Amino acid sequence: MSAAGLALGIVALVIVATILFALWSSWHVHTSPVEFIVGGRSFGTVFLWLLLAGEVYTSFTFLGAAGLAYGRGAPAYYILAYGTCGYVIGYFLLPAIWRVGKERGLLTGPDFFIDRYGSRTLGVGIALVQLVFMIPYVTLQLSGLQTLLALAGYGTFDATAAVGVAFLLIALFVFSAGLRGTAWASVIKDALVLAAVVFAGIALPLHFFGSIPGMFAHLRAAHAAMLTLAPAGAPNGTVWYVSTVLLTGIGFFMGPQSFAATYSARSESVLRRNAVFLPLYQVVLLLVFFAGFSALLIVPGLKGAKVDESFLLVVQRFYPPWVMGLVAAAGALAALVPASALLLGTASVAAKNVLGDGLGLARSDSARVLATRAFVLVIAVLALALWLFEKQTLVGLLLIVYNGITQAAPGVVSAFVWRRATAWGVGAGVAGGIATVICLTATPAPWGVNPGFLGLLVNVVLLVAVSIVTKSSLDSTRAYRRAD
Amino acid sequence: MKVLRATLVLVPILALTIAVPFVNHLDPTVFGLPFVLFWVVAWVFATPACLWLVGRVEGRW
Repeated sequence: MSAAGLALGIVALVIVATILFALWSSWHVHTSPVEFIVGGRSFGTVFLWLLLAGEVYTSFTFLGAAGLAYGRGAPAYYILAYGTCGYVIGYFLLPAIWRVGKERGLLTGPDFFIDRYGSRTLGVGIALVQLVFMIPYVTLQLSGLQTLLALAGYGTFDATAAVGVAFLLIALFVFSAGLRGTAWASVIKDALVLAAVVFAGIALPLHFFGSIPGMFAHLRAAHAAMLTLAPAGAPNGTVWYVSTVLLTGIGFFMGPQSFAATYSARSESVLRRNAVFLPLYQVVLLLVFFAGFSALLIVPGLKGAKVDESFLLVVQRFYPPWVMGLVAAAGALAALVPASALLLGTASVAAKNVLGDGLGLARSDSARVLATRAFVLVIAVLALALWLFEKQTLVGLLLIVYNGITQAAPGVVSAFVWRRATAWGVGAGVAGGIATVICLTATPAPWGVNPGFLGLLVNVVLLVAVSIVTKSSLDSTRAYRRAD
Repeated sequence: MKVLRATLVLVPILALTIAVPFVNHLDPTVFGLPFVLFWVVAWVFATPACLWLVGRVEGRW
């Protein structure tokens, strides 16, 4: 059997087995919107752990983090820091979001805004922002998958066509399994990814440099400047690092898939316990950095979006095809399982809040489940289109996502801490934040600050100023006040 | 109690953000890691401990 045949055969086998496992494990579950979108609000600590780890650790963790370490070095450290900050914030925010969600029957992020601020227009606006800015996140998974399939094919076939096939598979998977199937699939995904990352992060440095300190000694000789952050004003310097960690940490749980995961919890303490222990999972990223750094020494010279191939290229060149097949299969699941959660969360928002609240369509339960499924396809196609027209590194795509998604955070926080916050204030803040981000993509941001972070500052100022001059007369704020 | 709780929350966030430019050095290396990377990794481990203590202070477990 050819190398490509063996490696791709392993990938195909693993994907099919995972889909069958997910289908089998969620076979008996009845499909109502509450079940399909938020798993019937029934997930316990371990199951929620699987879901959160399933959707947080993606193609980006697997390839993008290594690519950033390979291409830039120290800026990659931000990835370890932002998730950890995200969990600290989540420890307080998620139980509060869960409590009002349960009390008031909310299913999505925009539902939360409509309920607290009493404005359907604001909810539709938030829904549209989420819809637009989640597309690059799906593109990220697609792009990671394309890289994996191309390398596992040893250059023998058209990876673009293979990505089309993989996306059909994932769409079928989302249709049939819903959120519960996604959580089950991440059992297999996490086991394989963990094995692949331990191999790439420990075996590669040991094989080529004798030890991990040995690898760093080589790096120090060849690329000393890459191991620490550049000074304040430089691109990807210290100012960029601090502003990026703050932006992405604050936005960590603001995506539609995170609201769905929060509402799927059985109780508040399930969420708290997960926020406490999930940071430990971040350590996996350290091994991914080791893999990326090793690749920089072994196969130097990759540029642009090619950096995301880093350690895969080492595996392809120096290890037998069955190893390549297993690593690529792990990576493929790291793309497919989160893509499923992202598609499901975003499509629910599009169906419920844009179609339902915005246009008054698809309001019955069965119509809504159908519309959610249709939007899964629409969003997947849009992500594919973005992938075809815009070649970006995986980290580039992720930062676009956070520029937009994080703008919802001031509205979520002030829902609980500031009774006077109004729909006009939140709306003006989000609009101002997004406008700032768009303006700054044309010109480089001053002092190397992350543009999304400047957008967030503008957002907060507008939220406060406009809320002060507009009036809120809502009873629903009472439900939000008990939360601290 | 409130002060203790706020400290346990703020310290990891500050350590992982604004403190990092001040520890942005190669030396001393720890377990072969550049110091700044070691610093970030150490706080990733310390954060669950801080959050667990917050839960203790709040009387949750």
